[in-house]
Amino acid sequence: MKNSRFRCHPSVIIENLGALMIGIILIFIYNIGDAIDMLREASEVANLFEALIGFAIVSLILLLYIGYQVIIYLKTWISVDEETILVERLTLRTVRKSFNIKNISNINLEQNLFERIIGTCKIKIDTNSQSTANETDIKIVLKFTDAKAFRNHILSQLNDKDHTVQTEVETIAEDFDVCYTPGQVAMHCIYSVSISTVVFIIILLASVTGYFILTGGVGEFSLSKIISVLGGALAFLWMIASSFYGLLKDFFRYYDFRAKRVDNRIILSYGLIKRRQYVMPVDKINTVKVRARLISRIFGRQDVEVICIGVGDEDEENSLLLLSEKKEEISKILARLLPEYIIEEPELIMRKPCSLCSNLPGLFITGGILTVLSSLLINLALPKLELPQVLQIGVIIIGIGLFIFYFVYLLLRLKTEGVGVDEETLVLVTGAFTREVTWIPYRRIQSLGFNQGPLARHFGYATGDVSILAASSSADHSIPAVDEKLYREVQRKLID
Amino acid sequence: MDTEYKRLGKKARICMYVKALIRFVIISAVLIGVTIVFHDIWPSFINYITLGAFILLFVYTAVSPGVSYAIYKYRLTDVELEVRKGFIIIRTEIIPMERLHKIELSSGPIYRAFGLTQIKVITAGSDLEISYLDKDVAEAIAERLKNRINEIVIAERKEAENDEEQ
Repeated sequence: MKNSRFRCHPSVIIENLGALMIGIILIFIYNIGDAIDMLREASEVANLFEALIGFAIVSLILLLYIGYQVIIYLKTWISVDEETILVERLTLRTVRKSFNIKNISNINLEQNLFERIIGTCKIKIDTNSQSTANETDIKIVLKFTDAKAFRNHILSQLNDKDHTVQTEVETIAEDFDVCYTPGQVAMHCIYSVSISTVVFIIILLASVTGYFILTGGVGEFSLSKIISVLGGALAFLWMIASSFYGLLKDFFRYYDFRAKRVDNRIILSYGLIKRRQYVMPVDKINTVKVRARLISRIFGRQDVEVICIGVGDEDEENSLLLLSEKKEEISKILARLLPEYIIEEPELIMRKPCSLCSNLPGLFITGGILTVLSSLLINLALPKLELPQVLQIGVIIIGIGLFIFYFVYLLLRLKTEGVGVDEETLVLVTGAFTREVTWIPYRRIQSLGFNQGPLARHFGYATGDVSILAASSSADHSIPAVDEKLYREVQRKLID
Repeated sequence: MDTEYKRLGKKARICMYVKALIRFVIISAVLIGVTIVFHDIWPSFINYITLGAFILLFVYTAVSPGVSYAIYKYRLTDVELEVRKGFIIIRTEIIPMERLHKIELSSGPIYRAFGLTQIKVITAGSDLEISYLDKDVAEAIAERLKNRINEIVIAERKEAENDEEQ
């Protein structure tokens, strides 16, 4: 593997074509019936000629695109030597990217269904760079054994600095520090159901029941009525299914979840259809989040997520470290996996009650806008549809319900949120139904900012944010509305 | 190395007014355009809302630059950079010197007309802007920041060497 120059596995062509091809094949199949009819009816030569020309053009475009992908494949080279990885694309527009191995923060393996079937594997490499924090730096597809060898080679280069002997990363199940059964994964999915899903389902049930009561009870059984009722039932089932789809997706995602600490790295492995294996360097971990959602809080469970530079770049990546466990278990397991972080909550300074005043204007303005919009709707659009008066009242009731819910939400936030200024870490507690505790060491904080409106200045509190080095979705963390002196204290800790 | 807050120059204030005026012209053009097109169609109370929005915009343009100018302060010490800005909501931003990665100086067309520059200080996770600075003041600050960063890097290298020797 040393000083070699190689290409990706050829199947990468199929993967890159993937979505487009499937789309085109589907369109093609859908239209084949029409195409055949057209050819039969093409009694005049002219029609036939047009049809053939159209077909030829489409095929040409397809072939050109496939040819283009093949050329890219043939002209993309990856070179590895002692210190750098070089990725070159020698097409008309030549791109050469050179990465210093020492700057690599993460090297991870991933296999989707197609790759598992044919025995290849995708390698994703990330570096310590803010400018590339929002996308994975290098993506290579190789045969599975080649991929593992490549990864181990890179890891051994990284390890040379630390004078540790490279151990074979692939370990067997019993060796893992943490290993979850499918039952535990399923429980985690249930524990992580969020309040929005619950509320959504409740509103759905209420409105559908209301709809059935109003329309079902009214008179004639015309065909259109039955169809609309059936349509409503289908839509209802579809919406319930999509909420559960989220749960199912998580189940497939975290199936057979395993975690292990090796030297100064944490190895994570999980997934049923798309198997992922992540190697996370501990010193690239910026933040630890301990979270308890609504159902978890009731049952005394929490899960742990870490923010690591390089993970979380693409849509589906986040970095759960532990699935829902009882609180006492969490500290024990974390002591093994991540002893650098001590998850003992310090004394928290809670959010100031008077800070509710800041939220209320927003509440009333939103309420005002909603009222204006709905009155517009009622006066302009609805008279055209024949909806009973009762429905309008129903909409108003839902509106008031949401208003009250938002108020309850604000009160819960007040009770939950707070800030702790520890020796080396900043502890932020946020959330209303969910309780999320975020641990950020001061030396990982890149900047601090806080805002004060006129009410805040009068009462002496401020809301703020800190930013860390991470993908943009997880870079900023907000600080709840606490006493303004706290911000100056954090500022002092930042400088030390 | 003074640790007091510094204010912006006189030209900054005028520039702020000019910018607010331009914003006013553009937004009121849109508002007036929309009203002319739609005023027959929508209910009459929307006309009052539009009028109210227009008056608010006018008051905002007249008042906000002066207040923003009075509030705008910045402070440069050996260890941190702090900026205070805003109109109704006042925002304070702090960046420790050690986190600095990049310094950018820029001037748009309106800035150039007044001889002003904006400094953008970039760290690994975020950035901070000091706007409406006189050109020479901005360049002096950039010099100071660069020197300070060099000092920090040299100090860190020395520490690393000492650690290795031990």
